[in-house]
Amino acid sequence: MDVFVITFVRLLFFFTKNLIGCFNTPYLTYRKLLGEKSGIYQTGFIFILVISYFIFASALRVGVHSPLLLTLRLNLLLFSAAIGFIAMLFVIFMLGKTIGSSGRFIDVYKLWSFTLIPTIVWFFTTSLLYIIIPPPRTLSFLGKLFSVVFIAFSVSVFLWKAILYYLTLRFALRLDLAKIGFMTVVILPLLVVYSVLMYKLGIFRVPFI
Amino acid sequence: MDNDKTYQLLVDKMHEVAAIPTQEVGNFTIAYKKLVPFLKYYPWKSAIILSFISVSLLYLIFGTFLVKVASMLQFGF
Repeated sequence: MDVFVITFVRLLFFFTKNLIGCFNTPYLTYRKLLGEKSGIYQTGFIFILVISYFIFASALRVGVHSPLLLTLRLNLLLFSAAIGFIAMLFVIFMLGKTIGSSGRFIDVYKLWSFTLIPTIVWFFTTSLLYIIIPPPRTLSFLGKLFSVVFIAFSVSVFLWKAILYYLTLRFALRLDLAKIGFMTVVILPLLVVYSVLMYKLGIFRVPFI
Repeated sequence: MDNDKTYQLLVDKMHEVAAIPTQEVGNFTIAYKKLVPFLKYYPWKSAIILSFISVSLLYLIFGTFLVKVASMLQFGF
């Protein structure tokens, strides 16, 4: 029991350090993460955050008065996000192997899991803003100001995600810029198809990738 | 003993550096090598500057349509 607690606290410490590192210095953090043996166990904390977010989002959307609907919504979100995550992992790894990558699947999994951090940040922030300042926005000065700030925040988080995506391909698959560009050109249409499918099914309006 | 540890650390560092091939972009390599350190070591400065410039440009082009986009995004979770 003591060993379990010590290991848990140790992993939580390293995870927090890497979380802050992904925010401040993603390049150095991703380089170090590749060599860290405990990196794979730290991904457990990311999935705990994902599950926490989905519980929060389900309660916000459906309400807590109907446990059945809440459970259905939560399971739908978890299942769809898991399918998207696993599909993305396999697409990245198999495509990387096809174009001559020498990376390992475990490295792709480790680094791609940490790219969920900007996703969680954006979704959590948007959910909180939905409660604090519910839409729609008006054309008043404050409405326009908030719109500009919110879109700038969304673009910043998107750029953060793009940087982590690039670093995943660079370090996990050891690809150069040309091959990363080629992979992006192939992956983007698949992402669009996934996003449209999730939107049409009413699961995610913005894809949780 | 300490020399062995130092040597092993040096070897590990050399492996880490050599594992990823260096990035070459043909004729644009010099410009690439000037731009990329800014993104590597100051990602948030770059992201904030780029996002505010792009959103300001979008506002000048699309005007109040951005307000509708912000409302749609707020429903996006």
